Amino acid sequence: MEYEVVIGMEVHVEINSKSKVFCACPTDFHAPPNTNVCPICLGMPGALPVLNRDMVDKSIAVGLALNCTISRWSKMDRKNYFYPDLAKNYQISQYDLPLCHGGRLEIEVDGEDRTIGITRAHIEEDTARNTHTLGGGQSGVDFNRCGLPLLEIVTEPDIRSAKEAYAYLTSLKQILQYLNVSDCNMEEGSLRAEANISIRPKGQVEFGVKTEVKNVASFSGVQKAIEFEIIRHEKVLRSGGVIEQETRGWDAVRGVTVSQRKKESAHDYRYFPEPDLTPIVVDEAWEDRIRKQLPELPGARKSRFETQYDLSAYDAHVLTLSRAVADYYEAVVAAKADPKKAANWVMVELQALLSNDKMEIQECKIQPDALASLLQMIDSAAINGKIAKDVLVEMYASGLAAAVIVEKKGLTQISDESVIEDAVRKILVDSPEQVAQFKAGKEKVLGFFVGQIMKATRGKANPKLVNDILRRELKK
Amino acid sequence: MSSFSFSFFIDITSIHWFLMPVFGQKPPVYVMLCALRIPLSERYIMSKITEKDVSYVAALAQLQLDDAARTRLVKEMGDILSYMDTLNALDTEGVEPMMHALEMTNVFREDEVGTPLSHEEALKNAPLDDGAYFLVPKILDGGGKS
Amino acid sequence: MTKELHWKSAREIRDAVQSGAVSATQIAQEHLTRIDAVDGRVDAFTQLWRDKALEMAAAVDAKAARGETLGALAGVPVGLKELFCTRHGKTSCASKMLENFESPYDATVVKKLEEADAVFLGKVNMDEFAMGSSTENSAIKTTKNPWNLKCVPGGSSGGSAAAVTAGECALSLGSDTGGSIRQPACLCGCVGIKPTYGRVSRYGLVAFASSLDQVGPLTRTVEDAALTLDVICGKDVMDATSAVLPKTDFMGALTGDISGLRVGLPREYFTDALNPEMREKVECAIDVYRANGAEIVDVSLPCSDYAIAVYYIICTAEASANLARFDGVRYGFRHPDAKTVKDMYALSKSDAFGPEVQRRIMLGTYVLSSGYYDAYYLKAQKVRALIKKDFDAAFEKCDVIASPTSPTASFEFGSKSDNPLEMYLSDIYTISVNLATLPGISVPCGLTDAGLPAGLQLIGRPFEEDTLLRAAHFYEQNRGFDMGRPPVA
Repeated sequence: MEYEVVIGMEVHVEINSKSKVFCACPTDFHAPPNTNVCPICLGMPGALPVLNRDMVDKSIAVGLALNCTISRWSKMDRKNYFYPDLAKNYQISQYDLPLCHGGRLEIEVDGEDRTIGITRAHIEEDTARNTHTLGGGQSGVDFNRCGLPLLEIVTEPDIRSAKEAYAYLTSLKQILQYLNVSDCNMEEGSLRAEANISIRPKGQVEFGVKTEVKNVASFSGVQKAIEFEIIRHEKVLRSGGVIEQETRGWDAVRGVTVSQRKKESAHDYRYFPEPDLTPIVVDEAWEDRIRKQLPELPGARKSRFETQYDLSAYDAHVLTLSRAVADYYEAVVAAKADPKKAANWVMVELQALLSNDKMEIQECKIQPDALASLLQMIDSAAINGKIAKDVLVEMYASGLAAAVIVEKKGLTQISDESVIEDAVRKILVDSPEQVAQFKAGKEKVLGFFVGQIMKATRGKANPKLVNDILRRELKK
Repeated sequence: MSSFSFSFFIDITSIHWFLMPVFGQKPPVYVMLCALRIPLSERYIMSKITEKDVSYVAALAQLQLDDAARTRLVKEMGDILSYMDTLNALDTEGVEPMMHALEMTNVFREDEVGTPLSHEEALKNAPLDDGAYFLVPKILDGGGKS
Repeated sequence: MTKELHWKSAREIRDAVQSGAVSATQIAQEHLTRIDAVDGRVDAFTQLWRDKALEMAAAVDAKAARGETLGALAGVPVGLKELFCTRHGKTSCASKMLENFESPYDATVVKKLEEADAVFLGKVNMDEFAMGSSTENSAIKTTKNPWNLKCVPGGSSGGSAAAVTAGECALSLGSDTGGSIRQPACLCGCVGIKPTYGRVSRYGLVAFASSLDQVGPLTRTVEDAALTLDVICGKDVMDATSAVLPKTDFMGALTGDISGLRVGLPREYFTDALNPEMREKVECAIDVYRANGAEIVDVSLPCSDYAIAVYYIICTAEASANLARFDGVRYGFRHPDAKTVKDMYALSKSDAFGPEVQRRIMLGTYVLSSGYYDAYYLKAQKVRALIKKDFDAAFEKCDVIASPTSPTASFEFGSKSDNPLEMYLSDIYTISVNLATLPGISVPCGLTDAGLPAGLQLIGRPFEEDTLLRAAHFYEQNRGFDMGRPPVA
């Protein structure tokens, strides 16, 4: 029997507002424990929440970017359950009327386009952070994270493989970063992904029993965990067993999922409308205002790069993966660099340096116009490509302009024919054996001569001139 | 806490004399019900709620009940819930529920950072803390919601 | 007639302090002496802030000495209900759960009173978490009715009503979820107003039922109620449900002119079965309006029968969530035997919450639980909408609605406390007002044969406290008798 995989994803994203969702506490959760807290986020008696407008704006932006319908009328609800990370023992969330619903996200997997339905995106508050390493039979609770603005994005069960799940997460993160609404740092928990996985015999309409995988620290971890679960489900079912509904975690070291919590008697969250907050009414004017502020999204930008800069689909894809890189690239081009050359240098040369240091392009010392200047020096034959790569390394380390480095180190390309002629003649005189070989028809030794000449000129000789003069002299 | 017999509500108008010894000359429940002309038929339903229900609700509310309290609550909650069933007499087809007290919408705060409590003030009322964290008995299930 | 300072109204005290005729310190000392004299019998105060009161009074006097303009409540001695968060002292909500709780912040209304140069004498008793109608549910002490020490002061703001009535303070701040200001005001014979929902900030008022709670003053005169309301009302950015409205002038609304006023009598509230003595008192009050040119009109509130059921579904549901935060993690009582998180919750709550609070948490949890939400909570919210509609329709025919505040006068301790449902039913005249978010006021309208106060309730249109206060003030000035002073005096 063949099985079909059914996956739905729930992603929690911390939105990067300056203050928390219901109070004015700062959102920096690197602060020492319990220092970014106030009566509201500590759930003190008598304290009341007031919704942060920025959170609503950004949530609408995400909804629009995910092709959702923005609810004209939505409300906040209380989700009631007891847990020490929950200051009020209810979480303010949205239940039956989420702010955004009915959207979709187009993804590409192995060259194939897939559409993943977005069920909903709703506003809620993050919980506190529990620490279990204090000893003494105690756990510690830090409420700095409690009340951070959290957007929960839920998909339809449309995902059919671990690869698709990975592509979905990558694509979603890309959009969130384009919108500049979250730093999407999985290790720090500002983006948290949970996968609901089940399998069913091909053709069957009913879903199989699902397991939920959570607390995974990377997208590739999510992909591996899903792969593991799919195989586990299949094994269990093929051997006549049953899948238990449960929550499982990912043990990255052993590469296995482990049971964390069996399904308790169905949660009874006793949702009801939050009486302390007013309904959220988003009229067309508000929606339009946010829509107008939306940046160009990755898909559209990729297509434009292909046509406007005559880039290959692959290059356009790579350059638009992150908004920062795409912005950087366009700034280089805007500073009058050749678009194709700029693409290559940004994607390959610069990216190699950055990934070596695990740095983001925003942190790079080389400003886009400085890179453009470097590329212009190649075009004007002021330096050659080989030297330019060395200059780039210098620029990357020191932040100095290309011209300054070239000047200081005397790296200007030698294009004076008489200087190159002298060098060529000297080499030919010094290498009678190789000259003889060339004359006997062994063209390959040409490379040997070029190498020797470059060595003699410390790589500064104009390669085209070297070639021309060498051939002319050898024919003599 | 003695229990309240909801059987008072079975056609109270005809048996109010029976209540005299309990409440004296003017049984207050009788007076109040009559004052409001509360319809009294169809209201008496046997055992609205079971011990199992009470235990389930107590677990949800994280309350610990001893046997006596449970038995008492089965009775009291049953009586009160039966009384609440008077609402069924009213046709609310097509009525919009009053989900919020006021008709205001879109009351927001601007995204401005204010001053948090001092660390000392934040922890001042904690039953147990270590100067940095609020302390609770070790959490074992690793659960919570997300 | 010269009155002892402690019988002066808030307005009289304010005027005297502003004019320099008397110092705020004298006022504070006089009231502290009064409390020492009578509170041993009345037991209204749960915390007496002797030093704080004198310090605040001294600050007011210093301000006067510097020639600065004094606030609208200059030197007025205030008792705060135990559920207003104050940085000073404790905020216990009359519960073992919060007996040691020190709020790190002041409620907005507390700040406003302080900014108006009021002087806090301390905190006063209440039913635990405002759940009750007799103040018998307090975990701290038993407050007595100053008219008869064997009788309850009403509740939940029983300490407020008793303290004001016994001359221990000119003003007390209470809260009203289903009658908790008006009913004790009625039972003790003072004035209590519940403003329109949204009129006064709830920030720092420990929540019982968020969609019903409102803060209001208990005073000995309608004028003092207006004076206090002018100080405490207004939009608060900390409370999303506080309404944006023009600046009020309730003092200016007390014109003594009721020409054209239409007083509605809901026929559902005045049947033959209404306790004849209470009915007579209220009808006499209505006669005052009739005799002075007001139009008395018959109105109908057909859904009145359902109000108690609706109220106890909504308030318990909201309370079950509001009280969930008392878990012994960040503040409040934690049971010493708790070895696990589950025990911490269960043992702490079960030990530190009184039976009425636990009962309401249970009911509220039940009506929200899976499978019952539609039948109870949703149904109740629909009927709540109908109740509000009833009032809207009635207010097309009248400007204020008159009724008794409470179906009975005060009663002896223990006479209802064994019977939760019966106690709930005593809220019949007040709870609809909360459900419909309307302003309501209770004004004393005489004494029963047993010497216990009766109260006239007036209900107004949303945010029309000015009309309500004008009507109440008119009655108070023209009722033709003086309530006198309670025997405890």
